[in-house]
Amino acid sequence: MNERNKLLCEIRAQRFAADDSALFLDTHPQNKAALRYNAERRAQLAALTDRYQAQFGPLTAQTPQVYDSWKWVEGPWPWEVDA
Amino acid sequence: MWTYDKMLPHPVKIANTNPAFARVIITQLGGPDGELGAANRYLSQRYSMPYDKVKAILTDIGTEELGHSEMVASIVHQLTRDLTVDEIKRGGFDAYFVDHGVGIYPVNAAGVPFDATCFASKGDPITDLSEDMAADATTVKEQPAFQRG
Repeated sequence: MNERNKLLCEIRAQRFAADDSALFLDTHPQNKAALRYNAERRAQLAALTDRYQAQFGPLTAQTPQVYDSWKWVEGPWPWEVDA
Repeated sequence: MWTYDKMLPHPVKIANTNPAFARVIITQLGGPDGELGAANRYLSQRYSMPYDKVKAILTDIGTEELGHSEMVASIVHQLTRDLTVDEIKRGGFDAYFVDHGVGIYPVNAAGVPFDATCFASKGDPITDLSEDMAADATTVKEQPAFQRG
């Protein structure tokens, strides 16, 4: 697996755990363990996302564009087989 | 409002095209128990909910379903790429193809376009949450059907 896919895989894992714990927190907003778990996942996600975006381009159109061209348009797009 | 993240929740990498399979899978996008229905159901119901927790969870689940619909559309897209005319005909994909090519158009497995009548949004919390439980239960039935097929 190349570097890009490895990073994306780790991002997906943290993102899934963050999103799923967020759903739990929606109905249990005071749960301390869940709050801690969610915060840890989001911290990991932020670090991984920063690494990914520095190397491979933006993951959102709102990511600060510190590149010299509008890299947002560049492929591959997520539904492509070589994404 | 929504931000789009340029990645799929789970990667989709289909090695071999299969238009016959695509005809069946597409119902998970545009069919009565599919992701577009799910996303629209939850995102529509949230407005009339009286509790913050329910507004939050319907918003978040509805958003998650949009990500799911992207994955299903990606599967159909990859199953139908670079098809020859012969492959299209043999896969029973010609009826869809004549109207949509290999574009993505949300239909069920019979080719009926996505329809909002596949979900209810009644403005009553008990009714709407009951609708949600019924909708979720349909996916429990769908899984084995996909596995058998």
